[in-house]
Amino acid sequence: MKKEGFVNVILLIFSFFMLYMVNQLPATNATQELGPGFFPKLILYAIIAFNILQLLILFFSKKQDDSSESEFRFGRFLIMTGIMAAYVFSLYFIDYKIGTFLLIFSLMVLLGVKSYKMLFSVTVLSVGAIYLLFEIVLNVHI
Amino acid sequence: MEQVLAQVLDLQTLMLVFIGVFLGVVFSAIPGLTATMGIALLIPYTFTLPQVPAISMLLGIYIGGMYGGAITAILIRTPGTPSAAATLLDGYPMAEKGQAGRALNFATIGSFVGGIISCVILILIAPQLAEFGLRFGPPEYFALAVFGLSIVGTVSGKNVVKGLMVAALGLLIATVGMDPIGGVTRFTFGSINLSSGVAFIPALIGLFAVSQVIKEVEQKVTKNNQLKIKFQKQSVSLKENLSYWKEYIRSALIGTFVGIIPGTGTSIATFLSYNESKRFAKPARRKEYGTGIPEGVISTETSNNAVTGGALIPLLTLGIPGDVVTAVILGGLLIQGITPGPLLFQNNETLVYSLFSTLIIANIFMLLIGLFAIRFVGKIVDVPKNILLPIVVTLCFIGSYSLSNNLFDVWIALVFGVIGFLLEKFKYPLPPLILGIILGPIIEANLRRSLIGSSGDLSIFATRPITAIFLGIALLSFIYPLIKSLVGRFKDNAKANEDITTR
Repeated sequence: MKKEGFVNVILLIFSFFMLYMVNQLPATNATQELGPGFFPKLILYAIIAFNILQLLILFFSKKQDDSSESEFRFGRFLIMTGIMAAYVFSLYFIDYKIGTFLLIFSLMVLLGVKSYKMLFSVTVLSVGAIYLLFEIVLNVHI
Repeated sequence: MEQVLAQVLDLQTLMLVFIGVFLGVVFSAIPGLTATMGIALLIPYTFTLPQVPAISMLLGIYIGGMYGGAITAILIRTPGTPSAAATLLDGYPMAEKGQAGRALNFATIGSFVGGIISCVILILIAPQLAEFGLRFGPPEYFALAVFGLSIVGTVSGKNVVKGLMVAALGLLIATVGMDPIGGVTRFTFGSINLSSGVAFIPALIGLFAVSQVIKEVEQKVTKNNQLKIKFQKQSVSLKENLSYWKEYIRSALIGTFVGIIPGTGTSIATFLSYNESKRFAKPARRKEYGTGIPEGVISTETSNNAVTGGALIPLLTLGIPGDVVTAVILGGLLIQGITPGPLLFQNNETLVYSLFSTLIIANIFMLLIGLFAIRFVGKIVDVPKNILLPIVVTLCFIGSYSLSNNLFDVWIALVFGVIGFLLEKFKYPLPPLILGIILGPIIEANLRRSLIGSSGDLSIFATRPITAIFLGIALLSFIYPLIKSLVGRFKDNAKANEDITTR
């Protein structure tokens, strides 16, 4: 099966799990024609149908996937997501100015900025501008 | 008339309108900050002002706020506001082609034209149109939302099945939280934060902006591609603008029409307008939508500013706010001792026409600020991406937080960023997901209300003329691209088979 098909298989598994969740919702009552589960169920059936249709299209498709374009650098994706998740998580514990400084700094390093002058000046200016805009002007305390 | 002119051309009023428009543009250009927030923040400052300058400033923010989102949507693929979500479909590709200046020009002029046409409609036939808007019951709302969803075929690219699947996922995401009729919580997994549903603006920021940053980092922006987009000052001639007159008029009418119907919002107007623009285009041109053409920017930007006049029609004539922004403006009106409704037009004609006139002035200021700002904001794209992207992602997170001072919204932006990245990686279109999230609550609530009202009789959707027309067109719009896409694929397969046999 083509690489793309796995996405549909994952979506199918997810849809069946959600269908199970829908069935846990309270049933309809006398005053309501349709219960809280009706609409999600309808949508999930549609998702399942479209997934099956897509799998059939992939199965019968003779065209080769353009894999060169969609090369997935999983390591970089994981590092990037990890840095951003760590930043959001850090907001619960440390001052956002420190977290923001580290986020911008690390992302710039990840994107290949090597000049320390550039790294420090951009990061400090950005944190300062964010502080000024959000905390001073808009009174948003993070 | 003299009184109106005296109030409108007062220096204080003019200055406050200008400040309002400017702040609206700035607020909506920053991801996470909205015109609603701007108006809410400035309302306390209007307490001590006279009625006309106070309300004029709020209307100025409203008009500027509709336009500003387009700037970041076009330049860095980050829609500052939901109303600019559809603008990036062709706006960002135009910028990628080195036409950021042209795209911004079309967006500015489109916003101006849309705003002015809707103002004229507001002035001429507001009461009559307001009555029409009130004819919309749950079946009509349901049909309009389904009609809005039918544009999935237009924004899905080549694979309509993938588009429909993503739209359905959006509809499913929209069911998270409290059920709109019974109040039962669904798919919250015990989280209080999810009980009011998935916050739309952080999701939008995540899907388009954060995902773009992840994409760029994953591809590693090196010195070779860090200056892919180069901003050039490009003006658009009057002749070229006039050649798109049909786009301007059609989009302005769609925007005004959607604005009149309370509870619909600008996002529906922009996507509908984009869809109709594509539908009316010549077959050869139709294929170019999404690759960066002026029609795509004009249709969305004209319609979202046309919503302003439309949304003010039910607000001023009936006291019904059309969307969240007008609801906040209603608050501002009430604070000033103005009670919107039919009596406002009878008892306070001078005030009403003063407000209408300031709307036109606000649109003119918006045009001037926009055309002036293009020269400077366009430079954003010249900033190397390895410097710009970390700042953009930080602004996205802080902006998401500032919406409701809740860190959960930042997580939503991050999660949707990852979802958006993965969907694009596997060539799934993102706009249908946004459509699903926007339209899901309207579709579900009104479908269920309609069926409760008709005791489960489905014929309610066929016997009401507006409903039947919208649903009929929507059905055709769903089926036609799907069949066309499937037939196209089978033809491709047949061609591939022929190629194999001839080798």
